[in-house]
Amino acid sequence: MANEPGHAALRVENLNLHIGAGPDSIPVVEDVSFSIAPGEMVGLVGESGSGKSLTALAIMGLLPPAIRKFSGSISIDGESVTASTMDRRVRARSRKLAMVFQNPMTSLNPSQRIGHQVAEAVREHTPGISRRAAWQRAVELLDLVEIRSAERSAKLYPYQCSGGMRQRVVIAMAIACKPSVLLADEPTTALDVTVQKSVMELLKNLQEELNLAVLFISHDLGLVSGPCRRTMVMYAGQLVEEGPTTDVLTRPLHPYVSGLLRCIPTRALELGVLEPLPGRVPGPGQAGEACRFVDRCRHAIEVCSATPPPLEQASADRRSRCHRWMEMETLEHTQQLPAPADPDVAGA
Amino acid sequence: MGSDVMVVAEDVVKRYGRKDPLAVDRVSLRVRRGESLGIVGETGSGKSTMAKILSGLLPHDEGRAEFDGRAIYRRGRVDREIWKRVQMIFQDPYESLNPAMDVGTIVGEPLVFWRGFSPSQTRTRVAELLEGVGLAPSLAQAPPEELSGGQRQRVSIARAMAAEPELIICDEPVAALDVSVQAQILALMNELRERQGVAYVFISHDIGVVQLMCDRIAVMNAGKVVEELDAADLSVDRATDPYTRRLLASVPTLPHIDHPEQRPG
Repeated sequence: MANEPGHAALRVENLNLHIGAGPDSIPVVEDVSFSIAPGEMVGLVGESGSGKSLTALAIMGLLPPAIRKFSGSISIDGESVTASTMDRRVRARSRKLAMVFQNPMTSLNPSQRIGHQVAEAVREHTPGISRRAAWQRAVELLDLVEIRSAERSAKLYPYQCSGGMRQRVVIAMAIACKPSVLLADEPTTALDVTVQKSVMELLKNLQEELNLAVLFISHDLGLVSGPCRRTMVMYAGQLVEEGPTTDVLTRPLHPYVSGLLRCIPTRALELGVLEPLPGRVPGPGQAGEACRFVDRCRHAIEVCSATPPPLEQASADRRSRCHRWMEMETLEHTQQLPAPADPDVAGA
Repeated sequence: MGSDVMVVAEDVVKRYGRKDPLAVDRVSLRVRRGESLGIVGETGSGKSTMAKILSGLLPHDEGRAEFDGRAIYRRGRVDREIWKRVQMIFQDPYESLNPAMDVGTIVGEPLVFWRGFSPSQTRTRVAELLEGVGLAPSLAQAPPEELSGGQRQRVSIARAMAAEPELIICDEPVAALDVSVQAQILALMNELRERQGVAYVFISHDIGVVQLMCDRIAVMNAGKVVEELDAADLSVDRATDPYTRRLLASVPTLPHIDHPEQRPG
């Protein structure tokens, strides 16, 4: 299991991020811990404001200035990267860590040929390499990300490339440093589905070929279910569920996850009914002290608004931050029945 | 059932630039009263252009486009009567609401403009409309910038409903929203359809969404409708067009839920 010490490519422990400093600071990421083994792709799913992107930016050392309070530890290949200054953090990480963002245009320079931009990334990470060798390596990388006629395509400018091709260029730049960890934040969200599929296949291939540990961040539960064997779900700054993807998506142990699944049109079609989650995601600092989800939860009981639920180990490979995770399966099952509540529920 | 058909598009052609490929290439569609027609396609398929043509925002170049037996455009100018009976909901609720108006004015405008409501009549009706889309009537005084994306889209829907339209054309109405908010808006739109009998032309890149919302679905690619089928038939096994099948095969899917009897425990 990936949680064993020493075997993680990426390990995040007790990550806490706050907007502002001092006693009035607002937590936006709370107590997030997880690890990813080499060659493993893990999905991190959540809606806006869940803290999923901030978690990635914290790992990357690219936190926005509004985040003034930061605690916890992050290590890559067993090496701690939580250095005190932002600058050192970036340098320590840059060699082993790469990130791909949602909009490839923001990562590309519109006035430079794509081959040049990849070559620049190569030179950045290969001291002493000649321009010619870097260009050659750039062409190889473009070929590796399955860009057709890489030699010729290297001379194109970003505006001459399609959205999918631009994202491939960005991925080529990301793997130019031979990272052990790749953070992919909604890398296919701006793309058409047919293109999305091919970029996902590319990521999967690279992950296997290069033994990359990939943190795949998405709002789309369907998308993670293909390539990620393990999935984590965040809500209002906290990890609320983690487990093997198929288990999480078919037998969730947290009411938010089951509610979110019922919101997905294909699942609603399968169930024959669309049941939206009531209410809305709480903004930073708006959620209650106890369970963050209590106001929207159909299974909430007294304890839920009194005590914050811990992230409990539900089984060897599953975690849930719900007081009632043990009853979840029964609760969800009975909810589907038209008859009044099953008398067995209480005893389950 | 001729009178039952509300929208008729026949061999509609739209060309943006003289040298550009046709944005809409001989598209024929029909929408019946109270029906929900989905148009799916990827970037550049022509689905949004088609939405604009049908809603009277963009004259087409060739072919026939009619609403309830009247040509939507005459000599390149829209028949403004159409705008009373056809409303639009756009993708980005952050851009489609006038930031200089409060919510009440935005929702009330069609009442005043099309139906000559007095200020007090307008206030009463706006409160009803806001309640109808699940918003507190007190939000009438709020500027759009104070609202979340989901609330803004509810305002767009309330405004569209104010005109008591027979048809609402929605271009990616939930694409900018989070999954749980998206579900709320879709449920609301379904409810309004049942309550008011309004018809939808529902444009989306998301196949699950159109399948959930529509009776029939037209698949567009490169300006053409490549296939039109019942929502229930939109699957890799039943679609016949190769592009439709490729599109369907690309959609990420959730693992199927186990049947309760197969569940452990």
